[in-house]
Amino acid sequence: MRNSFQIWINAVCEQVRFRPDHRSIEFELRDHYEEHMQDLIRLGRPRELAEERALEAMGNAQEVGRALDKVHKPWLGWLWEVSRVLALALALLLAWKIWQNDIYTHSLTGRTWDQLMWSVPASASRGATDYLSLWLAPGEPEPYCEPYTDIPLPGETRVQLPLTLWVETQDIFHDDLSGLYEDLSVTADGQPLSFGNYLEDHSQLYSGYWNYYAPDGWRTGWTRYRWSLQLVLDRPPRRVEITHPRCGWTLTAEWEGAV
Amino acid sequence: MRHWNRGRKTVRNFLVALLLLFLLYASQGFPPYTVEGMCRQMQHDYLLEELEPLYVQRHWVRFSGGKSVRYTTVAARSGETYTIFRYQDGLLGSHRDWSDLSPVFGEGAVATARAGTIYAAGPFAEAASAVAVVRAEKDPEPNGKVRSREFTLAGTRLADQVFAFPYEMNRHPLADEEPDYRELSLTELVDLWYRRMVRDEAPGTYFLRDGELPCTVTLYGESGETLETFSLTVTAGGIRSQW
Repeated sequence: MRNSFQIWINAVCEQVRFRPDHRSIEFELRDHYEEHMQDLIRLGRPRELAEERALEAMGNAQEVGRALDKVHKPWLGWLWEVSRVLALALALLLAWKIWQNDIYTHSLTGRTWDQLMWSVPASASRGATDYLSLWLAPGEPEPYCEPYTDIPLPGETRVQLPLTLWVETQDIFHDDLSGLYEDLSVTADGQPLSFGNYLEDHSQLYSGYWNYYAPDGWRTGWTRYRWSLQLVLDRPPRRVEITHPRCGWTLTAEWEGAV
Repeated sequence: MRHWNRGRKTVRNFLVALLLLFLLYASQGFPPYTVEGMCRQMQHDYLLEELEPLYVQRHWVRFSGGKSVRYTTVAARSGETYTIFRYQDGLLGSHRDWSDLSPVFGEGAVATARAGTIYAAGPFAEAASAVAVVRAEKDPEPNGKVRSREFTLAGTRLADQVFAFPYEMNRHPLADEEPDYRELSLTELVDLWYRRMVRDEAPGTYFLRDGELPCTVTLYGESGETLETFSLTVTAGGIRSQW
């Protein structure tokens, strides 16, 4: 009788065109069949009779098969398989890229956090182009400290001046704003400052230069950025101007009472 | 757990795939796939006016480890600003090739040397031919004498506003005796004159100083008359670049 059930189940599966489902169909129908058979045995029917009745109750194999074929449509079955493989492949690829952490892979959470946490003080001066909005806010001048130290050297006369620059772009399709921070032009009280303290001949400037620095890290969102600039000068300025040669904006920071 | 039919599960899977695809694209910084996308990214990153591609070159480079990488080099124009830049192509989009050689910008015209070719972009549409003269110059000697040599390179038109000037790529082996500079090729001479030994380092350690070589591009008309001359520069690193 078990062979009879196998013949019946094969006949059912022959009607179902989506072959990957044959195994699960067989499993489910066998489950129904055996459950029914066990119930009949519990009611006192002999095993052979129980098997025969249970198989009869399963119905006509061709009809059952055709009904199942309507449910297990091949196009939907293959689409489902493709969707599973695609989702799994993309999940693995994303996990691999994040684990690999190469130069092209951004921190999704870090960028989103920086994007959401970005805010500009109302006092910041503003500039704008078609594509960018920029804001600049001055910090307070303080005695210059060598990099990685918080204590000025004895007799230090230079001052360091922190400035914060906020930038917001119109879309997310940019790599970074290299052109902005490579080409900035900074002046203090009308005097142009050089970028970095190393000159072309490898000599060092004592003061009168500016640089980027990140006391609490750079803030890089998807469209919103915050950078910190540091000016090293002989004395506190009254006015600092930041411009870009290709854009029509000027950002200004002013200090009252500076010498 | 709620039982979902296959149709719903399929829709759910595709939505998850779409979300993952977006996250993957975002994790790569929304890289461009097309030349137009590359131009738009350059335009935004470097705060340029609309960037018009003039010439696109795609080529494969096979590295010693067996890895092959495809690069897209683009010469483009934004108003009077010309630029030449390169992207590294990949399945997850193209990423800008970060080096001293990409991007280069020039007002009126621009030139860059790379792996045996000097590329120049500018208002060259009217020219029938072009010639580039590259001048290599040694640092002044103690007596003030400056040795120099000029290399004349014939141009091949790549596009309306782009010429290529191929040069010989070979290397002179390091030797104790300085060879006769008049017999050396451009790359050999750059190797010799623009190389700097690093003091207090292992013998033979050197770096190439970030020197710029004047590169004069002259345009000629149909009858051989001179149309215009552009004074441009190429870098020592670019002349010696291998890829």
